[in-house]
Amino acid sequence: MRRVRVLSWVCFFLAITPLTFIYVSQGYWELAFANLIFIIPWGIGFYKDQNNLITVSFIGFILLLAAGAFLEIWIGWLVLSALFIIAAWDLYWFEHRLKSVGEIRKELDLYRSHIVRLVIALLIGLLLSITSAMLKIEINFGIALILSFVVVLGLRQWNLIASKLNR
Amino acid sequence: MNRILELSVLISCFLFIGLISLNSSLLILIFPLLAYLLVGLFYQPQKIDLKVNLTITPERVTVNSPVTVRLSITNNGSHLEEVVLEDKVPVDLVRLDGESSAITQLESNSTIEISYSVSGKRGIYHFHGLQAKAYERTGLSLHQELVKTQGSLFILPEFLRLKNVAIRPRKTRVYSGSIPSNQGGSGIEFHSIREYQPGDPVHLINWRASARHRDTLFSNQFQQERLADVWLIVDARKRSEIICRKGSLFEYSIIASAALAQALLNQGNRLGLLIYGGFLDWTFPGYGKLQYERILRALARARPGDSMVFEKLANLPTRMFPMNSQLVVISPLYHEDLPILGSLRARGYQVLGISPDPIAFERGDLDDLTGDVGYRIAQIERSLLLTQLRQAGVYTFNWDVTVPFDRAMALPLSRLLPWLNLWGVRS
Repeated sequence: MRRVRVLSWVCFFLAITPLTFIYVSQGYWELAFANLIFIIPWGIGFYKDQNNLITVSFIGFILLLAAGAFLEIWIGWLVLSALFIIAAWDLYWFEHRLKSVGEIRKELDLYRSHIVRLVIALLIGLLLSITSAMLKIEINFGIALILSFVVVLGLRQWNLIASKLNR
Repeated sequence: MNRILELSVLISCFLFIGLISLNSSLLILIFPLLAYLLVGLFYQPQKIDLKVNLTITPERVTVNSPVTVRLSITNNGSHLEEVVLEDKVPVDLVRLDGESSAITQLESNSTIEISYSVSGKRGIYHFHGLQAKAYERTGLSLHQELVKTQGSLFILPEFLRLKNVAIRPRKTRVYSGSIPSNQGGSGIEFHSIREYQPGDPVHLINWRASARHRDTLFSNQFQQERLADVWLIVDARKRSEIICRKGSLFEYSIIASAALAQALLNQGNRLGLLIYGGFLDWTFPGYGKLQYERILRALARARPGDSMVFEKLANLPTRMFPMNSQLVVISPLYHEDLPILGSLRARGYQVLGISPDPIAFERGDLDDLTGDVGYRIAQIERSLLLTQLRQAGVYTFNWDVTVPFDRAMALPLSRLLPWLNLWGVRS
């Protein structure tokens, strides 16, 4: 369990540190400060098992990445930060599940298989991001509007799937 | 908030804003989130098919004795990547050793065992099932199921041995037992003499009486010993539950009931139990060890209860008790109970009261003598109540619960009370 916690923190700092430096180097002090601010709820959430604080930090950090996208920060840094924060978030929840039970059987196997699955998910994400960064598609406002409607409908569908899975 | 929903909302918002603003960086940022979400959904766990074998050893124990609970779990379904298995331990049981939950990966047709030990207070505890939560490795998708198990643990009240309880109901049953009845026949104690009848053994002839009459012989008759109908009435009204640092006074009533039930059944009597509290909990009369087990189980599940109907003993369903039978009331007793117990006596029931002393019980919580005057007044009131009950023909034993029941009551209960002989006993 200890190694999961350490790895989660490593991923969290790998996500937050480079991005903070980039924001500082480009003069976005407010964003850099906001980035650092999220360490506090994350730390409290991590050690006090406050899932809501972790959720707030995760969403806040992702929104800061989105802000970086609007400020034309190099997309490579943003994607790497996103991957690491997802890893940190995932490992927090893994540790949370391990902590919530009395006994952990086959701990090493669980840990290894989890890391493998996580790495697969992140690698797919990285590959898709690289591929999409290299592709250039021209879309006009009409197509964007239709896609937006599809997104709204898709969101509803996701909700249904999510509630079904957790039933 | 659900993690799938969180990711879905983020992805949808990024996509929506990205498309509206035509910001390619924002659209690219979606892919790490989307990949993680899709991997989580793609590997979602299959249906859980577990077979659980629950063993509780022993299933019947006394208070605070350790009990081992063992669950053997076999996975009859597909491979479970990450499964949390949690046995639902009843709330009032205290886990002493081992763990009741575990996280593991469970291959198809493999078996794991969860073992732990518990102890607890008096009661009946049901183990309803094992909660199994199968997660996909990222933990996004979850499939959970309650695998039902069947097992119960009986934590029986502490039972102390009483050798003998001397009772003399006005009516006995036809079967021979240990209670002297007012009928001549074979027995030990002398009862009366009657005219000699052919077939009477010679040693039964009362020569002294026969000498006084010419041409007539008389035979001795002995008191027949019979069985009786006895009802134990346990006062489980909420007001009878006095809680102090030492525990609850109601627990002492239960201990007394268990000891009396054992003694009365050992004497061969037909014993029934009524727990009078929030509702009427009946154990219908019976004999022997099986009945003792039934009574112990009823006492194990007895809880003080509140009811407007059964707030006073006035609603005691006397029609259920056989006429002139023996009633044993176990209650701290209050002044309002006096006329009701008196009326039972007037209807012909023999009533014996065992009263755990609430004053002495509460006195234990007072560290100094500041409450000494109050204590003395309360004791005087209680003595007065017990005297009035005795005057009404309800002989009541005051039990100071600091002394174990068997030690405090063995001697007084084993003696035949002098006033009982005043009553004519008929079979």
